[in-house]
Amino acid sequence: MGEALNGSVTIPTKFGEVYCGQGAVCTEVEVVRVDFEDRDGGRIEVTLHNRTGSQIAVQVGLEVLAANGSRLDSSRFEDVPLQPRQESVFEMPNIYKRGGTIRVSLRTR
Amino acid sequence: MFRLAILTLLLTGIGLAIGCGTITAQGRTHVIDVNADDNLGGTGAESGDIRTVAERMSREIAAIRWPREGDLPHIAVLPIINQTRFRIDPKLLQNKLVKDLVNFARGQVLFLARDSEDDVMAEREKKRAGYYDSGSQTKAMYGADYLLKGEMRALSKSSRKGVSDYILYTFQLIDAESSAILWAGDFETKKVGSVGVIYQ
Repeated sequence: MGEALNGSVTIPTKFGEVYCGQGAVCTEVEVVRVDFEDRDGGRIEVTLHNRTGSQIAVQVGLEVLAANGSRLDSSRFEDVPLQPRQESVFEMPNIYKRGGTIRVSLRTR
Repeated sequence: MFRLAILTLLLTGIGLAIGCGTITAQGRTHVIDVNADDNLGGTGAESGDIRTVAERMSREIAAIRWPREGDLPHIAVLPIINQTRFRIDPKLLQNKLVKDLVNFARGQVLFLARDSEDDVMAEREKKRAGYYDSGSQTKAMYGADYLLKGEMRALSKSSRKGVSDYILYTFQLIDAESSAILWAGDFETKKVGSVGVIYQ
């Protein structure tokens, strides 16, 4: 093959899951925690940790899913720069839906 | 000899198909995700920034608890002012913002098309003059309860090594009677890159 395939990774968590279309992204960037206001229109905060020694940037997208898997709300992908071996908090207002699970998607820029 | 040539061509074709790319590969013009990096460089506002600003501000405004409960708040979106060194059409951000505002507000807020005022006036006059049928008429156009003001400003640096631009997008929702600021939101980016990228 011309390109090596970099398989996707899905990491289940207590709030939902973390998805990386390219598994290497989940290796370099760790979702340390996800906090949310447990109400309709609540804010979601995702704390990311750059495991590498380089200055990097990822794109983060959020989805709020109902128990049956249907999407209740989703955000656009947004750039998040991360300093070497540092944490950064990505937050999105007015997105959480009560009772929903959260899917955090990480991808390269 | 002819068979050998055909076989060689066939094998070359298969080789190209298998070894040199994917079936989803694109030609010279690449269609890319609007949030993806175009790899052209530049330290100004990107399409992703425009989309992010519009979404964030709209989500925040849609979540506001309005002081005059029960009334449908009327908001006039003022033209966005671009004070950065980049030649970016501020209407790009304004249009995306209005679209997101309407979507996220879900009918709980009324947004006024102030930049279409001349067209609305012309339509009203023609309806009243009998050129068009009456349609639904109101005595006057809606007045705004709040004005949404937006600005883009930048702190720019350059040296032989490159350029750096900090861009701050600020928005304020101003009471159109008292001038009190009901809500303020901002979004900021800082980008470092090489000189020579032209925005137009």
